[in-house]
Amino acid sequence: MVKARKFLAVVILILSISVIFHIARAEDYQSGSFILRDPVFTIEGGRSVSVSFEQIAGAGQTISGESTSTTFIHRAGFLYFPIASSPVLTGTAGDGKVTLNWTVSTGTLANITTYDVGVAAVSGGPYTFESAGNVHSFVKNGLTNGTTYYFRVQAKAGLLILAQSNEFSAAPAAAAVPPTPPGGGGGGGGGGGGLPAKVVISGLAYPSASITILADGMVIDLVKANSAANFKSEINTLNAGTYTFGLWAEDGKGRKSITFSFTVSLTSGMTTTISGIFIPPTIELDKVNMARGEILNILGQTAPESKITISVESPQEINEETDATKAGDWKIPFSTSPLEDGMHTTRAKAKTKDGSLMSSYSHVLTFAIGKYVVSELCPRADFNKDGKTNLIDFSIMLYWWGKYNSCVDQNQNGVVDLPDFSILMYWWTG
Amino acid sequence: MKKYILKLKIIIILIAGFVLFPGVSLAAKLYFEPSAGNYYQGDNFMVSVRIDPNAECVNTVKAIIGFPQDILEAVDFSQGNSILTLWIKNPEISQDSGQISFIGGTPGGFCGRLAGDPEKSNLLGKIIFQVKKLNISDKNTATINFLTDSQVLLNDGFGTPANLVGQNAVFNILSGAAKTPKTEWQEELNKDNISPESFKINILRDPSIFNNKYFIVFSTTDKQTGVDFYEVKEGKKEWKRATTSPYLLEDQSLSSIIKVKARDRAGNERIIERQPLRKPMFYWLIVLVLMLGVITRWFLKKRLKSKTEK
Repeated sequence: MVKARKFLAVVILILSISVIFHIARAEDYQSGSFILRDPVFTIEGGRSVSVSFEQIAGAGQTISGESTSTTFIHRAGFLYFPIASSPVLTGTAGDGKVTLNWTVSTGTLANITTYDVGVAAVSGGPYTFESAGNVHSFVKNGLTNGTTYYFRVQAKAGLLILAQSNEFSAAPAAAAVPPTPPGGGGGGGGGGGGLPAKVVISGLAYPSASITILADGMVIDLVKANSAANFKSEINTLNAGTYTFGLWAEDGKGRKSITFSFTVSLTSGMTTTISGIFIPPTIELDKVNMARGEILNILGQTAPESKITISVESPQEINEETDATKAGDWKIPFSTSPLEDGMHTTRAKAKTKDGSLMSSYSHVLTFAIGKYVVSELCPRADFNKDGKTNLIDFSIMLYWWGKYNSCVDQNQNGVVDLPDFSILMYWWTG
Repeated sequence: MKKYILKLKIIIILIAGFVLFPGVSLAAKLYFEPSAGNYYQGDNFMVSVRIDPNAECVNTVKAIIGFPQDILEAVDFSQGNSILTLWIKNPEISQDSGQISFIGGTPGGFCGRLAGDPEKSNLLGKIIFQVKKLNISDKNTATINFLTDSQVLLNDGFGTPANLVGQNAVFNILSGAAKTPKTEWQEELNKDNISPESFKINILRDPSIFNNKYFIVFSTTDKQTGVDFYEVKEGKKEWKRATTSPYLLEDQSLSSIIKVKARDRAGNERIIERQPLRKPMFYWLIVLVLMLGVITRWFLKKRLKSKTEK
């Protein structure tokens, strides 16, 4: 009898624990930057406020979920905050209109259900928004030719604004009138035909950096970034057509960035705006040949207070992070202890302090550990050693094509061939 | 049942392969546009050669294209509006072997179509075909393909070859002749009234080429029908065809005006002039004679004055 009572007590205890555990079990909530583990509901709901924080407590409940009725919606559960990636806005000006296009905004803990397009008369707003629906392009009609308009797109999940795009500006213009074709064939001189196309390029580099802008590999503009690393260039000397634009920056220490390039088609008489460019950081090594275990200083420049990530190639890629200073300088003392003897490479990328822009990777630099030695023969495909990689170096390569030249044969395979041409294209400065 | 299990296994392996090695399926793609169509004998049509880098950045394209030389005649290749702006090997058509080949590059790399770009912006060039007059009664097909020696290289600083796939184009050649033969290329030529882009002439010398003699370098593009050829004129000499730069100068004294003419396939020209680095000899002679005259006059005047005083 005592045994039976004891057994019953144990069963009741186990069941109680099980029920309590079930009631008290909490779900983990997470966003891009944190995880809230095992949260517990308060018995009573309410709001507590102090100088530095606000706590909103949920009403007593046992499970999370949504209850609806005809008159109200009860959203139960802990408050957590969905985020979404920023859409990248571009567009083309037309006759009395601007056609806008943007990239997909992807939500975390929420789905993007609609995009609102805002237009403003001045940069920075205020914007007048209208719903475009769940689409990725929009034509804004009824605009005045010759007036510059500023656009921004908001990505929304229901009524919640989760992300907004970069600002895009455009000035609508009357359609180009095709010129009268010349009589007869041939003809000398040059020029002729069609209104020029305008392109506006803006973005971030490094504080007071010199930025060289190339179109199809030829230098077309030189601009200077301000102290906050912002730059802008307006070019209106190009004909309509497809161009590959390249941008590279030289920092205060004379280091040159990789050429950041993009290809776009320009329309006669229209303005194409490319904004939100983040030129990859400059990168330099304090030495290229070293013994295993030595500290390798990897340094360079980027936009002020950006987060730098370097990656070092080894059997397992090693990543390290640091923050750039207000002047944009960054430095990582990298311990080579985990690396094997041999040739290794490193490169860096940057993310702005507010996380809105992320650059692509910098130049890839090679260093050697142990008995291996990095060859410094004609680095950066600069065959005539004038500090630039341009048409002159291309001409020298053409001269040696299919033959051997220790300088031009960049990959040292015994002949000037396709990989050498690719290396020349990579290091191009114009 | 066994067959079914084998099929299932293959599917599972394929799915696992894609999940575990997603990068393997990534490959740059060379393709033709249009990739199909119906043409009659005597038709003249254009086929665009395009590239999809598939989320990679590429900077060098070597393309070798095969075509049935008994059905089609490749009459021209247009580099107009190409994303390749530097050509290590200009397009070459070999009608005998039925091949078209070229090697070109994009400085800084081509990373695919930009979001919002109204065009595809991935053109490598356009082949202009003419359908031959054939003694056929039935429908024939003409397949154009990329040969296996074609290569695309990544913009990674090491010249790494990209994984590459080539997509064929198959055209139906119908018997008989069209009432109005297609003349697509002629229409393009008629539309083009714009000269090649402006460019610069650089005068240089380098110990590594031409025995340290002076040469010029130049390059431009034409966004409509493409650059056909360049010509160089030194001083009063005749225009000379230059296949491409570097062009070795005849006048190594650098006292001639240098002109370079770029002509597109529609006949539009752009001429760029470069003043001589050194002034011609006769100019110096005139200056010398004048200076001597002034000095002599001053000397004689002084002498005459001193004689008068005496």
